[in-house]
Amino acid sequence: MSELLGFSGVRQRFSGNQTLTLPDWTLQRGEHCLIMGPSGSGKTTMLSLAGGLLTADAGHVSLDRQPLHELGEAQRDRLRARCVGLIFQTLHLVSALNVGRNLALAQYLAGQTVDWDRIRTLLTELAVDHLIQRKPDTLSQGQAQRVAIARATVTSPQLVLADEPTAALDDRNCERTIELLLSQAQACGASLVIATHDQRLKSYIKTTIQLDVPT
Amino acid sequence: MSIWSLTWAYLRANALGSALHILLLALGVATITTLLLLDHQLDDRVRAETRGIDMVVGAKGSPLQIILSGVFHLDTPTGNIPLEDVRWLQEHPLVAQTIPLALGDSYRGFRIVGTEHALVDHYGAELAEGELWNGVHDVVIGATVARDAELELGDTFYGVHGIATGDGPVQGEVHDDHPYRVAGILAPRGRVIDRLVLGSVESVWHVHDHTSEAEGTEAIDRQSDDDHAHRHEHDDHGHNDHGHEDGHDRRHAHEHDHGHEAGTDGDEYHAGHEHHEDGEITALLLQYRSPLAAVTLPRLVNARDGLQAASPAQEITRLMGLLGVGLDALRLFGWILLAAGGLGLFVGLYNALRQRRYDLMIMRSLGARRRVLVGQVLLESLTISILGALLGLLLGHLAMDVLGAAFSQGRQLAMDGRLFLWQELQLFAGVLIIGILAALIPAWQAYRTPIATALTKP
Ligand SMILES: Nc1ncnc2c1ncn2[C@@H]1O[C@H](COP(=O)(O)OP(=O)(O)OP(=O)(O)O)[C@@H](O)[C@H]1O
Ligand SMILES: [Mg+2]
Repeated sequence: MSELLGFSGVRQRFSGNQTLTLPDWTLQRGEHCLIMGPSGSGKTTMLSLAGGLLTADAGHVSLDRQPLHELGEAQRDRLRARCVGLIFQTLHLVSALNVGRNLALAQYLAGQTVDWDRIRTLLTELAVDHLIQRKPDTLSQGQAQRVAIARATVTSPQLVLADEPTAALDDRNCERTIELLLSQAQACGASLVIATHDQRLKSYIKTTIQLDVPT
Repeated sequence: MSIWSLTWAYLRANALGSALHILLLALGVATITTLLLLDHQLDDRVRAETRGIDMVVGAKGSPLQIILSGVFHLDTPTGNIPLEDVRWLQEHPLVAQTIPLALGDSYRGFRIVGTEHALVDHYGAELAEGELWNGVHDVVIGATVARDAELELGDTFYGVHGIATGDGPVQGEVHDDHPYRVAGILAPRGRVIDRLVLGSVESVWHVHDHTSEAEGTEAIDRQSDDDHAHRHEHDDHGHNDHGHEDGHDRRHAHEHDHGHEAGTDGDEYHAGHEHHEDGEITALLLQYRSPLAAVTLPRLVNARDGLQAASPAQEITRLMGLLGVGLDALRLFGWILLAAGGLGLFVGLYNALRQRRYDLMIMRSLGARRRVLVGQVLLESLTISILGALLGLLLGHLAMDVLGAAFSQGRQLAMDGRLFLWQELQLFAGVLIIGILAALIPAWQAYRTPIATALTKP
């Protein structure tokens, strides 16, 4: 086991003199983790820092043993493309492209060659292969979420970051989604980090980081 | 998957918007192109047709009309000038060369011009087949006449009374007693001469001598109703001596005539018919022997009764000055359209890309390199600008072609849309620059927005 993600002394300042202090934290390869806490406690911020979408104002974040604050923006984009799959709270599929091509786009932008076999297999595993030609606008919320999971894992990342993937789902769909996430992470040997305040996920992922609302 | 297929997907997803952008841009480019072509050809033709002609002498009247009728063969002439004046000019020490023009008849809407071989040289025209005319029955025809009237070497035809102004065949009496024979056909010059039938001055006189004899003896073939006024005029003056006073009055009467029904066939009928019985000609093109002539000769000519000197250079400058305002206004309008097209493209792309900020952010979150994102946006914008510019150039040339063919003046000056100007390349480049700017500014803005703010807020 080796370290995939590390936070040390990270602090993030926002406008209005509000400072968010995040706990020190390391994540080993293949290890899963939940980031929990009430609204406004900094869960999304922590995911953004981990994925290199944000840089910390103080402290260090390292991803795949590379200190993110020392990298340029373009290098961070490359590192993210290589190592990280992102599932946002809002799913952010590209509306001009159909489902299959959204996945192909992720591979293309990550610098991989487009692998239609992998795309089809992945969509089949997630039971949305019949939607491959559909535009994202025409999908149901649950279908779009599964496509988003497929897109986050189609590049075989080492780290999958998911923000509130189950917040709007009933128990049955919550169960199905977390199982899909776990199985896809398993399939490509990735670590899964989920930011949520959904207590139901605790039974699936044992490691938890608890955040508190900043004072 | 590539920036090409990505661009194609975006263009298709917004097909109507893309098409409208292309159309808007094309309209601006087309207007500018048409104006460029029109301006260039007008200038070119005017320059070419007046080169080597220092002065045109015609009957008293508008100098501009003399130039338009004598050089461009567009307008009706102001009248005729008597032979003694012609001789005076030909022998004048300040005059180097003269070319007479005797107008009066036409064939299928093409003017029959009684002149000398020197006119062919003046136009720099060459015979495609046959030879130059000799005697009173031979004519040489321009390339367009040969094509449109379907005349071949050796064919004969009859002239129709009346001066063509380019508005199609003249309705007049057919001179069926004087056949013309095509002795030669000129190679195309892309100039006015392509649309002329050239013969000797004597041939024109010959045709009309006959007519005037008939009229002099009150022949029955001249009894048509529309000719009454004219015949009265002739009854009054026709058999008198042709002194200056008389000639002047007659021309004066004709000028009035012209003012009232300018351009009508009836008028042309009169104009063409009035003279020739005593060997008058319509206009004389002349070249100065020295620059000094420009100062003195026009005054000498205008001092003579019934004569009017017209300088092509001056008249054209005057005409262009008048036309120029209109052309400038049109050009301004074209640039405004183009600017609107460019601005439309800019605003359209800017809005499209602003709406696509999320898409660009998603692509960045997926690791897109800067050059991929900027390249894709550029490609999309350039596709629209290139298509718009090409469509605009095509429409502009088509419009010029239609304009050149639809208007008699365009036909007479041999204008069309089948030429290419280097300014069009500049126009094309200008449109591309607009396209690039329209793409770069939103792309740059998209890059300045932190991804996290754009994506993590629902
Ligand atoms: N761009 C920003 N500008 C100012 N303040 C911000 C910004 N982004 C986050 N914050 C603040 O940082 C704190 C943490 O925000 P974050 O989005 O990480 O919370 P969260 O735990 O994800 O909450 P939720 O469960 O509601 O999604 C909040 O108090 C928020 O107001
Ligand atoms: Mg959040």
